[in-house]
Amino acid sequence: MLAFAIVIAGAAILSIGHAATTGEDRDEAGWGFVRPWDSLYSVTVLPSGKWLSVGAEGVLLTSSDSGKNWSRQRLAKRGDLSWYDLFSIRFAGDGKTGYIGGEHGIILKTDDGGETWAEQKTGTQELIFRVVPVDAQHAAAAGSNGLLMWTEDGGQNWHSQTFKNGITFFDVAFTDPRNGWAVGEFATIAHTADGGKTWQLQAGGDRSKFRLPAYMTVIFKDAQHGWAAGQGGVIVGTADGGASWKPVTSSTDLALYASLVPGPSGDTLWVAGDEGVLIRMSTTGAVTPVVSRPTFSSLTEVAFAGEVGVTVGTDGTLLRSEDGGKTWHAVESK
Amino acid sequence: MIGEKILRYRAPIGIVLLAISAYMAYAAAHITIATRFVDFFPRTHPNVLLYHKYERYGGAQTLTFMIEARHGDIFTYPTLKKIQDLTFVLDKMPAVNHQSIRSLASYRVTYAVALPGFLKSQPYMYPSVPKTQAGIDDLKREVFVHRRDLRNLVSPDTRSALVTASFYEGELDYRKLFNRAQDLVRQYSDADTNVYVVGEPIIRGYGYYYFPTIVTIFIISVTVMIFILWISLRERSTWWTPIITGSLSALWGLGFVGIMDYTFDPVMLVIPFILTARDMSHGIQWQGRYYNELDRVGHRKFEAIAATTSDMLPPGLLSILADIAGIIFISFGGIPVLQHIALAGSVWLAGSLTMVFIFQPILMSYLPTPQIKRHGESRNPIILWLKRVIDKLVAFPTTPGAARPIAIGLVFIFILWGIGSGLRAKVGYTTPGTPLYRQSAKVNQDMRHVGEVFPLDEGWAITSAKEPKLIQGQYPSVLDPDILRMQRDLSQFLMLDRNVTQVVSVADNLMLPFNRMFHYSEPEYASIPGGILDAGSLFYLFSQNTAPGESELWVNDQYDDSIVRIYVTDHTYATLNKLTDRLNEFRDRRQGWDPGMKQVDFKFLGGIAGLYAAANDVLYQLDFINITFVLGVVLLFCCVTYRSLVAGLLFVISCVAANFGAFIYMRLVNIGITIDTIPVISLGIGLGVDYGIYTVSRILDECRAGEPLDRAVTTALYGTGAAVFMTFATIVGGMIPWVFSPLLFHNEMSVLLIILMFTNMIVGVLILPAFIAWVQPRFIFGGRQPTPRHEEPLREAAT
Repeated sequence: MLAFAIVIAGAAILSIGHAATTGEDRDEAGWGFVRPWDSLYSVTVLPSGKWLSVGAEGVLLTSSDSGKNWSRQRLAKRGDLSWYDLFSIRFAGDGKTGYIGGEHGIILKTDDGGETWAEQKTGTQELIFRVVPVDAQHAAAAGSNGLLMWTEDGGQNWHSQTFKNGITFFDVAFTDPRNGWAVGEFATIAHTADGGKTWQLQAGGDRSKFRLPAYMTVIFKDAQHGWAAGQGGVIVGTADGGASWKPVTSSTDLALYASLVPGPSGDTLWVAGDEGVLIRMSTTGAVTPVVSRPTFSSLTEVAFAGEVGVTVGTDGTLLRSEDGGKTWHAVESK
Repeated sequence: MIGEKILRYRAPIGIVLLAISAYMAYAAAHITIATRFVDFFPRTHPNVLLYHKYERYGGAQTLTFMIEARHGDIFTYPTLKKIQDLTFVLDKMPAVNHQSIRSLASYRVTYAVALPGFLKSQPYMYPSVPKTQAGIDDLKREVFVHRRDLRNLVSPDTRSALVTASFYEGELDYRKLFNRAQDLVRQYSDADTNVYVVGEPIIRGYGYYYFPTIVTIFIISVTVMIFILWISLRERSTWWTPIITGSLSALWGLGFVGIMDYTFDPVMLVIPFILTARDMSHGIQWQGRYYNELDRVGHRKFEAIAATTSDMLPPGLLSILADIAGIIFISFGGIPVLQHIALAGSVWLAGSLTMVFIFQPILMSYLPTPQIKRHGESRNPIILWLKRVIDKLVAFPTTPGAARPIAIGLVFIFILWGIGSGLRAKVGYTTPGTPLYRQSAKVNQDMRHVGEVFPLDEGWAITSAKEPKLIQGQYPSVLDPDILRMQRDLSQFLMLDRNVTQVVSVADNLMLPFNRMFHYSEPEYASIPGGILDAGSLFYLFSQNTAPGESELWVNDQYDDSIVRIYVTDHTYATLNKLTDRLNEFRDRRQGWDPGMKQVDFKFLGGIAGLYAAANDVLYQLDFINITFVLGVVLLFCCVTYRSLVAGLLFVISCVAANFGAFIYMRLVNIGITIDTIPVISLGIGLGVDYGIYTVSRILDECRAGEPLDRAVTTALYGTGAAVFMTFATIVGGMIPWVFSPLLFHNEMSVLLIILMFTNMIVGVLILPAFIAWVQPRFIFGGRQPTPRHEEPLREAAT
């Protein structure tokens, strides 16, 4: 009798799990884990080797085999047949604490490496483009209409402020729990030295200068050296912690909005953007950036785990590389 | 006797009937031969009303040209130039809706580029085609980048491109448009390029293309019928009389069409032909009986005419009422073309009643007494063999033994099979393309070829603001973000069905891309704007940067309706049914919680897909209603005529036995109940029951005259049975040429009708008399005591 009950319970659990994987739609069969109309906005990889990607309409893809096969589920449910868009997924160095940011002021947090997610109270309905965990307790977020947020207690309480002139921020990067940079429209770069409580303008910030490009991604290698990239293929770099920024050759005029990420080798950065442009650049400036176009769809993020790289984008784009980004192939959606 | 009364007043009655016929001839001369597409769909169905309301946003009269590169892709100067040239040519054609023209070369097909400080909107290939390879490469890149937006204009493999245009039906000349389209195909096809043209105007246009062939078939069929008429009645000098009465009946029917200003679709020409054949068969029946009476009364013409008229009018009236019942009820569905066929057909058949049973006696009274032209028995061995076969068949109903019960048992099994087939009858189109023509016909080959690459059918869902207003005096409330999100969710939901190739809405194709472009091309901004002011501003930005009238393709000029266009692979019943189910499901699942759904009336399904879905909705019920009413009329009239419920039930069962075979045939050859097939099915039911009516009436007459039942049956079969067979031969002989028509519709319907006529004849002339001879129902004796069976040899009645 006990064995029978266990079998029944197991079948029930498997069926629930299957339902969670297949989602809400009866006709999902036959489409695979990614559809031609999906927009994927962010991808990351954990120290454990697990890959995660989020996108429009609450899509969360996960892979445990280096990005060859993925499973699909939906988060951030708005109602029956409706989910909110998810824009970014980032984990702290422990590989357990992670945050997803999305539209409608959504922040989801995980403490178990992405197995389960819980929605946090943010008190805002702005678009949250990036949530960056600094450690298990500290995290910062950037979003539309001047939104800058921080937490010091693992997201139990989020504090927010509206930056001057309501300038939208697209990305934020921290080198330690106190020092961080946020980039946004009108070539704005702001810096915080107190973990996000206050921000000082380092560049841009003037809405009247509407011809200045928007910066959509920022990365800092250390407290002094950082790069920002954005509209019109613009890349700028700093060697003094953001006090001054100089242009860096990108060899493209297409918008770069995929996050600047370190490459497999220590002195490279990768950024991607409009019309499938993918750029590998040197942090030292020793070599000219290498521009490739593995696809015509917009690429929104790229990530590497050793020589394996994954880049995601619009139109169901999910590409994988096994040679450090030299060549890319579409992942077959099964 | 009514016959005597008609003869007494033959002059005035004859003059009146001829005067009416002359007027009808005048009205018939003003018939318009044309196709009105919208007449094929139920006028008051919500889908059709929706279609009419939004017709100017892209009606069903859309012409689609596909330009296909035989080698490589379309990105060569010559191919791109063809796309442009064809676009410009279509823009100059009569009755074209200029706002509907779409192609890579159209100034209305644009993409937006976000640059620092401003947004640039530009067409892909207007006003000129790139001449350099670099320019062509740039174009190719832009097409690849925006390939999802261009899904309906450029194929995924970039080998094909479309040029489409819609036309205003009220101003459309299908014949001219068809011919011009074929000229363009020839003009732009060459060694490197294939050009295909598809669309409803082409389907209808082929009707005009084949019209000379159809007319030829019509003439051959009429000739065959006249030949059969001559074969059956040539022994007398006035054998040609049914041609006159049949022609006059046809004039009455056509005159009615002219008076009512109905348009006459060339594809439907088979319907009036069937009615003409029916007219002639009544005429043959009457004439054959007249000759019998002449022989019986010793060639006293007036006496024979009066007796024939009096004897033939009741069954004739019953028969024609059954014919009318078979067709009149198809008008119930609200489909204009069926209403026109029903009313015109009823007048046609009523004309037959007047012409055959009133005018024909009058005509014969003025003509000399028919003389016998041939004497003696034929010695032809084939004729002698046929006579032996006929003798055996005639003997069957009155031969005791197991044959009769077994045959009747088999008929009951056939009835069950037919009823089962009828209940499982497919509704709507079962194959892509059009069932009017064979699958191998060019029109279907082209549709299949284009349909493999591009969706050809379009349905509309309308989100209509319940309380339309302009927010802050300029932002339409129908652009509320909750409504936009609902549209976006709808799109994602519908796309899971593989028959849906694209969903186009103001949310997916305007708001999301424009929101993104307006915000530095950042993909995450391809989301629903935060508030109505943002959404309204984006819409304003769009409308200021596109061609005049372009914004009305998304939101109507009253700003209260927003259109969602759903492109599907075909308009088969399965595809449309699933789409409608999905739309219903979406609405039901959102009703309770969705703030967007609460603000709108969610209406579907408009567009051409909606029209076909409307017809599907109506047709199944219409078929059921039609059959029920026809059987009800048969029951009622037979009960009244024979004053017996048993008689009525007997005829109903025989009707079912004979005519439900249609459903068996339709299932076997995969024909569905469609707007094209239902009038023919209805007619077939009405036509065939006559055989039984005439035969049983003759049996009744013989029994009332004192003949024993078996002898009455035999006399009826030799006499009326022969006339019934001639009727059958006339109709079937006339239908055979239609089997070879280029229109599959004609082929299938003529075969169907031949089968129906055959089954009706078997049931009416053999099975029904066998049942009567076996069971001896009381009504057949007309209130007399049944006379015991005789063992005398059966006598033949002179024919």
